[in-house]
Amino acid sequence: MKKETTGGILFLVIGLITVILSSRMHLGDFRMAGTGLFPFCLGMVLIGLSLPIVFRGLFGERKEGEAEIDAQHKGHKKNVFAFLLFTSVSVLLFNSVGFAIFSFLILFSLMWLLGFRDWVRNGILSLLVATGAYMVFVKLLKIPLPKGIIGL
Amino acid sequence: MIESLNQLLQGFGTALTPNNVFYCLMGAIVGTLIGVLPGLGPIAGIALLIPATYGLNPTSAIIMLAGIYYGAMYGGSTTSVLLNVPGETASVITCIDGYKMAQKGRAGPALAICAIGSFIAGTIAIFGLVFFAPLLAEAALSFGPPEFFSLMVFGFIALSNVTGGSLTKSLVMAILGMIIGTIGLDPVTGDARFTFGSAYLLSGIEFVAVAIGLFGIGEVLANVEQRPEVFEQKIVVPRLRELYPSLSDLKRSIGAILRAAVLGFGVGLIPGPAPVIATYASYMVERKISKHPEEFGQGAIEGVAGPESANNSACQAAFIPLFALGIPFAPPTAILLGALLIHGIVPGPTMIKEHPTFFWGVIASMYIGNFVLLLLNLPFVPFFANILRIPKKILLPLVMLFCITGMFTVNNSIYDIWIMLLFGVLGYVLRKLDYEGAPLLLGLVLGPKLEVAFRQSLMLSHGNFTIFISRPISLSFTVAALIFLFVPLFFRMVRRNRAIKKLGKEG
Amino acid sequence: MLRRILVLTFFVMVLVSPSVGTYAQEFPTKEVQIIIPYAPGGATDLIFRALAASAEKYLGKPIIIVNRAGGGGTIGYTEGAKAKPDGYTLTAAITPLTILPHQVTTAFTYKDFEPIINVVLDPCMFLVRTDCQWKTLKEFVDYARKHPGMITVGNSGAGGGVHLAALAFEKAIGAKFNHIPFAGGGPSITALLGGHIHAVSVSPPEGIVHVQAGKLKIMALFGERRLEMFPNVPTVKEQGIDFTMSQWRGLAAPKGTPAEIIKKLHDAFKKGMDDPAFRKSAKDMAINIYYMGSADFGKVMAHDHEFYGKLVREIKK
Repeated sequence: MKKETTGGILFLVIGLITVILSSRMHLGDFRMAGTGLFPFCLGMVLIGLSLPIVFRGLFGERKEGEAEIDAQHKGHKKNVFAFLLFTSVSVLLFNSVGFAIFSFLILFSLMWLLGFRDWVRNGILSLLVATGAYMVFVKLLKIPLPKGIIGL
Repeated sequence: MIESLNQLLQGFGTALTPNNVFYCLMGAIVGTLIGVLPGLGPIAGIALLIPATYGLNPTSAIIMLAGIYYGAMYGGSTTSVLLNVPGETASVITCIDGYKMAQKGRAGPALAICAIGSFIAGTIAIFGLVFFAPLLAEAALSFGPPEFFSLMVFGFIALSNVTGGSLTKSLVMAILGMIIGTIGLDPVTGDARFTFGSAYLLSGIEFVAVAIGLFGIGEVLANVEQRPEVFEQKIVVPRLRELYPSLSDLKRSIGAILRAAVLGFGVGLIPGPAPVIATYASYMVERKISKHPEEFGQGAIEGVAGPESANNSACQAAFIPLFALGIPFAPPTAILLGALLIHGIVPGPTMIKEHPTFFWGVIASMYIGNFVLLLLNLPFVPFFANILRIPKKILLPLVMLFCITGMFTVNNSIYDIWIMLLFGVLGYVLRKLDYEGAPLLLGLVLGPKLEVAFRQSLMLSHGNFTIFISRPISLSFTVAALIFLFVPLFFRMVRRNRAIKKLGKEG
Repeated sequence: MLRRILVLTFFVMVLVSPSVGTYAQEFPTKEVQIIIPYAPGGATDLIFRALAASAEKYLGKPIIIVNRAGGGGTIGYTEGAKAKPDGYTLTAAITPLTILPHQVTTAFTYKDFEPIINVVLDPCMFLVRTDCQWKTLKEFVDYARKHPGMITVGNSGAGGGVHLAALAFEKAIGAKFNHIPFAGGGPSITALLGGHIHAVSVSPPEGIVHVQAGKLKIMALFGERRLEMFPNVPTVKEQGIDFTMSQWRGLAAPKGTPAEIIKKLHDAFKKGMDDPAFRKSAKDMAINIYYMGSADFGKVMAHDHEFYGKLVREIKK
């Protein structure tokens, strides 16, 4: 039930933040709605909807078999963190190194992370795909993509 | 009507010239390629390729650009089915059952039914376009702010729980979507909301970023988390015979397709992101009337056939306001309007009379275009289905590259990419907490428009709330909304009473 | 280990080998972007797409249109002002550029731009349905004065050029309208066609096609001269109301763009404007080509900035 409560609390918090932030804006009334009125109402509704979820989470009963399904789905969360980290680094470099190098970088690093440890073959594949992507998107379709330090 | 038919036949004469067939084909192929790349939807595609049409005569130019438009619609469904990445906004619903089918080794039938359904619905829609355009255009005009508001409230109530499951959770997601939709500029007063001083947030959160992030990136992350045994599992790729829909598949789908064609056409006339709404509506309808509702969400073929057909039908319908009124209701048609004007054709009430060869030529080529796309897409189904054979450790990084590139092409903004990744994480987290993404997107799309319509209506009526029930169309939708809201609650209470009584008897 | 280093070096060399971008070349060496701070299909968008089509051949490189709609233009202008002053990112500058900074806190004013060329000067106007209750301007104005807040006038966005035109007009005639904002010119005209509002404030080419078809008519024309396409429609000035309001639409580059590049751009676009294909498009859209060179355009921007500053302050009172 930790799952249900967590979900409920998450939305409760979002609702509260929305209400607080929008009450600082000009609210007006329904006839002449101000900027903050609509988000304010939405936030209140969100709070109202998340309360039952939180209650259900704290006091409700567990459905059968949920425990097993949860256990089955438990996986390597640190893989996810690493995956996001590598992706973020590549994206941070997106504008500075240009599209071509970015493609190579992101493919190489993510494939390596997911188990493709053979540097040479990984590298060759990344290079091929990056080149292919560059050809199709930049040259063929003429889509504006960042040019990096090597001018591609 | 006879005259229309006659002119349509003449139109075919224009459309079937070798030149125009070529342009149609080019447009369709390029459109499909563009549609497959997530994010780079028909808008950008058409805009990018307008310059390529400068040397052509207006008819050929529009044939090609229109080809790109629905080619992109066709292509968008491919990545939805294979990778859970919505190729463009209207393909979101296709992800739900399409992806599940692919996971069960049924990618082939899913892709094929997308093409087949789109073709059938598109053809039906074209006939609707031909015969009913002027009437429907007039009808569309009778929608003012109060009608829009009631319609959208109705749509919201009817469709927020599109996937079934917990109503509360779906509503939570829908409201969250609406809140996200308020980020940016207040459409009525122009004041900034929730932007924290950022110039980027002034234009709001890009819908495509949310769609690709929630569905595509979220799925990638969920896969990354899997333990090695699950991760390494290869998807069962079926034999050639099973790559195409079986007879029973087709039988089940045809009803969905026909219903979707009509439904999508009607929805497509409404201004705004009509194709997206059409897909939600079709899915909802199919789920409600299906004899196997529990299959929806697990790979029901109607859940793919319906939305995809509705999508295509709505796109064709979107041409009606453009051609009959000269007013584009959706961004892709706005770009087409620009292209028309550049080529010297001013769409509007007089266009059909003044440029009949053009109009009928374009209509005929739409039919041809639909046919061409079917021919193009069907043979590629095995090729696409085999993409799923690529080991995940290679496929997933490819998907990331794909999504990031596509995302960037929409606004040339790196912030969009960060938003996409953020929503990817959110999608991953919400998945673990048992929340669905589809209602959030609905809220994101409807929210801002709902708010604008509400405020406009009250400005028109000087603060008088009765404006929503004093006009016939608005009244009907309000009533419909109330019915959809209270009837299920009523039935639930009745069921609960019966269950309690039953327990009482047994106890 | 050594093997890996060699392989890596090989890759790096392969990637670096295509020529690095050369410096100080003839402008332009790549495509030029025009940021349009409004939605696709709107008046500004259509005009500049047509112009880009003709000017491309004189510039020698493709001209790409990028739409950055939002905030009545705020978003597009903010981006345009911040762009690199190398001549590759231009902005379509229209009258609201000089109005917006007085209404909201913006990160830009006209001073952040280098004017290149002005393309059109379109009068603002009010359109109504041909079957509406007012047959003449006099009837319309009299009714407006007697029934404040009753006539609903749609506009393409709160605080936008045409909205302000409507506000200024009501001040000039001593009336009060009920202004209803829409998300662009298209939706506002649709609402008028459907009879949901009484009038709409627009400028060509918005609505022209419907006037030609006879569904809408020009109730009030705020230009200095009559429209070429509708020579029988008098301006409000001719009818005794001393009020004119027009929108200029031109191109600008970020401040700091070198003068030689501005001149090159100016010349290319001027040729594009004179191109018969553009002239024909303009005629079809009933827009009024009105060339102004860089210096004159700059003067107009400065003048309007002051003018609208005063107007906005007066209206806010």
